[in-house]
Amino acid sequence: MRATVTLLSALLVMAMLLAGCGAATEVVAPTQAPTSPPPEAPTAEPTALATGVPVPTEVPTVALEPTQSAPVIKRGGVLKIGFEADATDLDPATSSAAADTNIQDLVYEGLVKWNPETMELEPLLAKSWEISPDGLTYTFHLQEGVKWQNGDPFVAEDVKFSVDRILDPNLGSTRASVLSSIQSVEVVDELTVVFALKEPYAPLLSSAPWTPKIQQRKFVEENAGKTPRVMMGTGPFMLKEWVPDQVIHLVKNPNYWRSGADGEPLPYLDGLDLLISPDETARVADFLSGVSDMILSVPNKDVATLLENPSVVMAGPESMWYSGLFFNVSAPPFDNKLVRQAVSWAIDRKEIAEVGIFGQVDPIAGGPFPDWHWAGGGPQVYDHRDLEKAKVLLADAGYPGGSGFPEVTILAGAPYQDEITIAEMTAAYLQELGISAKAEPQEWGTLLDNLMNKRYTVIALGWASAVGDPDEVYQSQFHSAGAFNVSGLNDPELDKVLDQARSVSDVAERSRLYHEAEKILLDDVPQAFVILHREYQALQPFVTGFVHMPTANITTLAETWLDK
Amino acid sequence: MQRYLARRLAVSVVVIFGVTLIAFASIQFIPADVVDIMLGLKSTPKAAAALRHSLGLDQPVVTQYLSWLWEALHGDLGRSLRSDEPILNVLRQRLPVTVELALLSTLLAGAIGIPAGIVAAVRRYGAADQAATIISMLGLSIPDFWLATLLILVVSVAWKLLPPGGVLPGLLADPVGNLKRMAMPALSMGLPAAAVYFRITRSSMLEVICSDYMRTAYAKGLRERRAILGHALKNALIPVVTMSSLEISYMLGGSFIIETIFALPGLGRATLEAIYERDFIMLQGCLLIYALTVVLISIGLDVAYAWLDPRIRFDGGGES
Repeated sequence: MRATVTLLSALLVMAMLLAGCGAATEVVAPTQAPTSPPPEAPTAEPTALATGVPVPTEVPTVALEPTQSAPVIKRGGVLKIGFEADATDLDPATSSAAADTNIQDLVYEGLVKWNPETMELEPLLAKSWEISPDGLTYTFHLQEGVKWQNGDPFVAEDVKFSVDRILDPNLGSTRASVLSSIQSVEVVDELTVVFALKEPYAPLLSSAPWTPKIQQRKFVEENAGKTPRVMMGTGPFMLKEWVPDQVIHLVKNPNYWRSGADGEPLPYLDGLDLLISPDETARVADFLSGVSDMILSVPNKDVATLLENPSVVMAGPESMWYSGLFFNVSAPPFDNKLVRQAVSWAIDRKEIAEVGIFGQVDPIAGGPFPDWHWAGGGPQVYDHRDLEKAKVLLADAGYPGGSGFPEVTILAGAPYQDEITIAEMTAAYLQELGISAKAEPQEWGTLLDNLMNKRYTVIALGWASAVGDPDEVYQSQFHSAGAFNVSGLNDPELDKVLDQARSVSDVAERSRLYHEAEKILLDDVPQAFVILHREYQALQPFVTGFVHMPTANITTLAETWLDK
Repeated sequence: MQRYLARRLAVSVVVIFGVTLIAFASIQFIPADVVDIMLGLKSTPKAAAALRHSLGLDQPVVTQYLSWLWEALHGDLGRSLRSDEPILNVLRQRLPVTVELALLSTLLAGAIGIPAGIVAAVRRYGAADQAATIISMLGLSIPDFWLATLLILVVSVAWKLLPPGGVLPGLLADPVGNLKRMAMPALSMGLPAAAVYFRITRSSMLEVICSDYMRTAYAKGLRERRAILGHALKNALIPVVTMSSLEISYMLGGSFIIETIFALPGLGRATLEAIYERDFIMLQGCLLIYALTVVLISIGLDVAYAWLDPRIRFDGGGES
């Protein structure tokens, strides 16, 4: 009798468990077809322009029917956005983290901005500019009628202050490298400012949407020591309240100088609530249950489900974020070029992308710039895997069949699942070469420490470009004097090409030079470029006017409105 | 009793500051420091040196800890290396959230576990007892973070009953909103803990019910089940009180996973992030408060023993 009761109780418990599991796999059923118009879809043919900016050819992914005419814009409302991490440093002169930059983009402005659909440079705080033929003098004519959020007028002196501050060695800003070619900044009159350069530097203008962000001397000096926690710019939103680890409240700037399609000042929204939710599952659950109206960086594992969900709008997928294998070229065994080439031929980039990462990323056969970018379309060397060639190269390097090769530990940073997958699959591919290898995920701080002190042989790592200029990606990592040359590469021929590429301003010529640099890099392999990530934002259907940008900027929130 | 308390508190102060010294030393030993984390991949030696200097990290290690200790003894716990927030502000905002979570979870665990344990003990080996024992096995095996994720998927996404995230309203300002936000976190931590309370209560009650003095009471004619339970329960609760002191300490220290999943601005999450960011000023402040809270709870519960068990004395006689 006792045994029967026990058995029945156990079965009852099992039944409840299984019922619970069944309920858990239900996904929210769509309740209605969305009626608002989709985010803008670029249809223009790609053209490289004099200012040399990338032009996307792909259309952002949208699953809705288009409407015939532009709808009436409804002003008001607060947009709630799910944020992955809290901000730490809101000072645009010193911070470098993506969470910080996203918020700064809404409060501060630069001299120019990107057109969200074509990525061309457009006027912002500078309404026009001229570059001297020798590339050493930039004259900016500033927008009139712009007010700071504290009511003061925006003047040329603010630009000079911002540049000088970033270049100040006492500040120790990590953004200084982008402006390091500037010799001096001169205020000609209230609305004209001139940059005098030491040498021609083409990426100065293409980096300008990111750095320098213009700040006011009075505000910075009044808040000395507090600048990471306060913000006051010329942009469409103002910081109202920052509750650490919870939420950042932004409100509209009532004196914003740009106007919307209805002739009234932007932004259309009353404010933004940035909800901080570090756990991926909870953040997506917040979105699906209506706690947030939008999330940035949709996790890979949720992309497919959300793309299929008709009550969710997905914006994306262009990105400037690639991942690959970063070799330490200053120490054995990867100081031998033949060994690095062998590894690059031994890995199967397609398999990593399509199987390891569920098809949520794209394999890279050449350099890390996508086809739609003006620097893309270079030599595509590693478009297939060649294990035999890898074996031959390894033997030529002195390790036939892998004999004598030391055990390899491929490091990867713990929060980045894609890079851990790359490390694990690479370890398996190396085993096929006869090399004993294993992947080792490490806590992020520990990994950084090892990377900076060159205590590694190979790391699976990524690099996200903030401005999408190849100078930022190639020069800083692969030039012998590059600020972030962690692999220790020193190639005079490459240095010459990169120096040339940053000094000419003609885009076609720069593109040609970068393709030359890529040829050298694909042969030398200080990094094996493996995958290009896809970036998606998920939006509720009533969120209208947001446009995805490959640099993951969210500046189009100034023109976003809620259709409800 | 006063002498006992004074002695306990004196020892506790040493323990609490010992904890902060261990925290400080640990951060120094693990790779990377707060500046490396803040500057990340885009770090340059110049920027790193400038930042280290402005944070006072270029001073000798011993100086850094002793100057923090000196300030702490005067009530100033310093400012976060990462965000420059005054630590006392952070603790004042975060501690109540974690304490509320721990208390709600404990209430839930006790409210479910203790009565279930009593019923199971009184009707031992019956159907209810068997079922409850099996369910409690589940509770002991299920990790709280798995339960949390399950609750989010079912209650928030499928049923849309409770919000998994969003701002946490103050308990006094908006009690309903606060409890709605805290319900799933408290369930995630409370249900597994209820299993522990159930098993301890049950076994303790069984022991008491079968004891000689209870049999004597029955023999003497004391039939009222309730009166017996009134006697038996008080004795049976002593191990439960011991257990709850451990459980609450565990909940206070182990809440960081639940706080992270549900985006609660609690002390656990702050402590975890302080470790990742190598922000040892924040870490020392957090651990100081944790140690203090655990010590106070422990002393408080020891005092509660005296009420529960008249045999316990503080001067020489009973040891605790």
